[in-house]
Amino acid sequence: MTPDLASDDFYLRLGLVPEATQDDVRRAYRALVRQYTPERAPEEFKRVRQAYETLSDAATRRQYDQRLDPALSALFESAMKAMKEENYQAAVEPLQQVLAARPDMAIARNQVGVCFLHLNESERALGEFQHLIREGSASPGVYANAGHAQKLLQQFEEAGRSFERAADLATMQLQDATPFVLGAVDCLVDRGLVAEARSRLTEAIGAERKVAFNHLRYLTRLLELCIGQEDSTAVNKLLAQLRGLGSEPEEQQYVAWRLGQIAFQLVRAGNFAYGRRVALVGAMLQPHDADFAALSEVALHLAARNDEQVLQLVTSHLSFAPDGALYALRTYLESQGVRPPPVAPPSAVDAVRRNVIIWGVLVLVVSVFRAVFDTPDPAPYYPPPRHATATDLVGETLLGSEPAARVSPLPAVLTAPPPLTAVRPSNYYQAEVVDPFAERTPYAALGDSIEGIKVRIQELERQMAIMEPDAPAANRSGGTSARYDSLLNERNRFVNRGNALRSRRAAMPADPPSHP
Amino acid sequence: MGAIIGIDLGTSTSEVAILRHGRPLIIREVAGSRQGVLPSVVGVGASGELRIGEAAEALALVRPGFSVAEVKREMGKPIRIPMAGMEHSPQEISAMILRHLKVEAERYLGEPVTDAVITVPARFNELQRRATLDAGELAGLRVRRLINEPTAAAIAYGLERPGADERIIVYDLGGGTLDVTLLELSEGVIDVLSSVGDDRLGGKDFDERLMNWIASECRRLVDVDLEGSAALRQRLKATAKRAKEDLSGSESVTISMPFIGLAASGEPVNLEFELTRVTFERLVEDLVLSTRVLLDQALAVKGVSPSQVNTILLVGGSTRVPLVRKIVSEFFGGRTLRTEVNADEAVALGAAVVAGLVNHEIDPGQLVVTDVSSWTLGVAITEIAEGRPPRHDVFDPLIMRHQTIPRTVRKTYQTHQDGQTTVVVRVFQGEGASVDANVFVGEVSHEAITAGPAGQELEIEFSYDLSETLQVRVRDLESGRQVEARMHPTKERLSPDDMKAAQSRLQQRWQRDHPGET
Repeated sequence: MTPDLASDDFYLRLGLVPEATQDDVRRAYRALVRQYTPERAPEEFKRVRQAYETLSDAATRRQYDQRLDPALSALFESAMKAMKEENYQAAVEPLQQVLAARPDMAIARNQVGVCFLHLNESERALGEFQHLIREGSASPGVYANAGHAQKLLQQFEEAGRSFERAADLATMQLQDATPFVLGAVDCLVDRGLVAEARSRLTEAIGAERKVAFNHLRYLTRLLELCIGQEDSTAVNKLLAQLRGLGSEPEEQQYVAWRLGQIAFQLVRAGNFAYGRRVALVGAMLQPHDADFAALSEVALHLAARNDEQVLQLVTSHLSFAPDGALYALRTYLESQGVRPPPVAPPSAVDAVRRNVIIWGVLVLVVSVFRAVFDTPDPAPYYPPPRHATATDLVGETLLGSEPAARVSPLPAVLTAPPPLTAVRPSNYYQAEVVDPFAERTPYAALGDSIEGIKVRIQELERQMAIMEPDAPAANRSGGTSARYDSLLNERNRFVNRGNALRSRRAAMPADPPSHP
Repeated sequence: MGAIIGIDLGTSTSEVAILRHGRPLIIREVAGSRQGVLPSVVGVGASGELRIGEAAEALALVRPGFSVAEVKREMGKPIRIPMAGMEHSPQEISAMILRHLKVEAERYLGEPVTDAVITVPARFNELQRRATLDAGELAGLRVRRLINEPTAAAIAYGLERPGADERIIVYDLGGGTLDVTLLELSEGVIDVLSSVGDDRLGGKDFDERLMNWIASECRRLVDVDLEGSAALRQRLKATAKRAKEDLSGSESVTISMPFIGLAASGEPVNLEFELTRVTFERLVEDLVLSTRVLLDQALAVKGVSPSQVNTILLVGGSTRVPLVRKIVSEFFGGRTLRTEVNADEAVALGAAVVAGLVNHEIDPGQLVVTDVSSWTLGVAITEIAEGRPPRHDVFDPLIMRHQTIPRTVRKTYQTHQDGQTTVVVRVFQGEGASVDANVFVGEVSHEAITAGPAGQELEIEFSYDLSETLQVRVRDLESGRQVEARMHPTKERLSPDDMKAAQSRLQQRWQRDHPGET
């Protein structure tokens, strides 16, 4: 066979058949490099080498032999593109075609499952993941995905087992088991076993006195659970631990930012007392950042219903560090014409206004969570970049205006790609972890499950109510319709979950009281 | 086109070779050399004339401060070396040696020589390689290629064996460096499979151990401090070096240093005692044993076991030490080691063969050589993961050590911020996980990235060619706009001004030698 240097097929490039022996490969290579030496024909040489390096090594050759043919590869790529654009419906069809030709292709099956998860077809999703598990080709991520599916199907006990299996596997493979342990913990919370969830987290953190920075996610989760149980002693202990956690300034800044996030969620949920305490620890960690102190003040004033002071604080701290939340609140309030607070008899108006304020915040925050909730590769948390203020980052996107193009003066602002977009020679693939629900919903996070679900349902219904006049059921435009439907789906999911929890609660003893 | 000369610019000795009728040949008629082996020493004589080789070596004993040896160990460092009242960069000192070899080759060939292939240790980094290129330029040579020394040695071996199909280990223990390289020679195609090295281990370290020992014996026997004066130290060094060399051929030698001091009686003090090979071997055994780690590493890269190696080539003067041969032989199960290639000359011969490949004098049907990158090349990135703050200045490799070059590699990265339109791609070379541990090579900035949410994709392409120039291309995948740059190390390379200054200093030295020549 004549070697075809232009070919993308490594066998054709070396003039070989796929059955060629290692000796054939070496012989073909030797003949070609004589013709295309590194000195005389460097570009051709590179192509010869690329093919030779892949085919001369037994492991890489086996991997190469399992590549997709160009048509299937294009199908797969189109599905990946659709998933990236969150068009999961469009991704299912090509993925299933790929699977019809190559039922052994683990990653395609995993991706189909992920699509089903997003499309609320949890049963089918679970089927795909279990198929992979049965075949023994499951990575920790596949177990975790199965766990997510089981959770959506209200099979919390099974889901917990899946997450634990994922965590075990990850530990064995020397990967980070944190997201999987947290998944298992959430399943315990979903079953109302908050005490068990807490001890599972304590176990994960380990017995050492000194906690390490990489335990941050366990600690914050534990903090949320303890707050949910109003275990004041445990909360104090955890806050002290968190305060001493970071050794580097950047780590401390990160811890403060995480605490600010939790404080903000608490404030929004109306838990002003704990919100204030958590925000104060953030303020201690970042004494130069007045926004943390402002957040704690906001909590205080909201608790006392001093709306004027709230508005004043909100106006003077336009860019509260975590996510610019106060700025978002102010802008929203302004757009609703809420300022300045009218003088009126306290009782009735206050109730309305409180509603308005909380409602305003909810909408804003929900849109944040929606975005994260739907992303297959959840956007990692990171502190606002050093050279852009949080205002720039979140204020605009949250409120729907186009983010203005900004020239960033930052050097080398590159990030390693997430697994999906990592450099993958177009025909290669590897199983990867896709964790569509890595981000917790805010109320599950507070450990106050049934109450949380209630509020969550209310908030979703409010959002749907806002959309309704703009988008009557008869002729809703595409984007609005998808958004409305996803809200509706989510609402129904929460209703189901709440019902399931309630029936289980009825059969179970209540959580042990945290204050004897 | 005139001949291209091949130069082995060594720590202790240097050689020059040319290709004659398809075969490499050491030029033996080099002034200041022993049969073509030129000590890499530069000095300035009493009347200000430049001396190279043995003539300069002699100066070290009588006029300290007027000669420089082992300059190769300083290559790539931003330092000045004093010599006879002037200060020179390491590049300039090396240029004096190169120029001497060039002039001697011209005399031998009877025609001008303009181009050269120069060998460098496989371990040399980008800065050390650039410094070698600068030295060549200062000497008036166009350096067509830098070739790794172990590769050159294997080429000299491979050229003689057109039909061979074998795996070769080159164990190159020179004056200052150890390189261990695994190659595959198959019907005239030489592929370098892996290459590891230690740039702080060589014959000089053996000398040092021996010097310390002789000095302590001297204190014990005659109570004289040999390290007390510069002149005595030079004599001690020469004595130790000669004793080491003599012990390769005999079981014991007499250390004899007359007139090292005066006794109270006014009698001169002499040092004389027997040194056995066993004693010497005890002194350096740990150094030699430590080289087995490198042998292990070189084989491990390709998963080759010692028994799968067909040929062991010993290169470099220090492999004459019997203990080195014994320990290397033991590593390979007591097999015989190849020494047909002359340890001192193999590298220069290989350089001459590469010169023949460069100017197409050697037919690729006869010999083709591929080489590997000696260092990892990559970019600085910010690594983002959930649950911790972003890590800045993480080194992300694109071209790995031991990968065959020339090579082109593409990798996709993402922007970090919403609305980001600029990235500065900083390129580093080295094996550290953080860029701080590596050598900065250069940077290229792309200032017209399509604005959008964080996560805009950028493709970075590295093209590394045989002259070890790195071409970096940064492409915005959305718009297709790209920028590219050729990388030259910005730091520590001689700037044009420095180059001019170095030129004029060298002219000063040379004109005193060869009046009328420019």
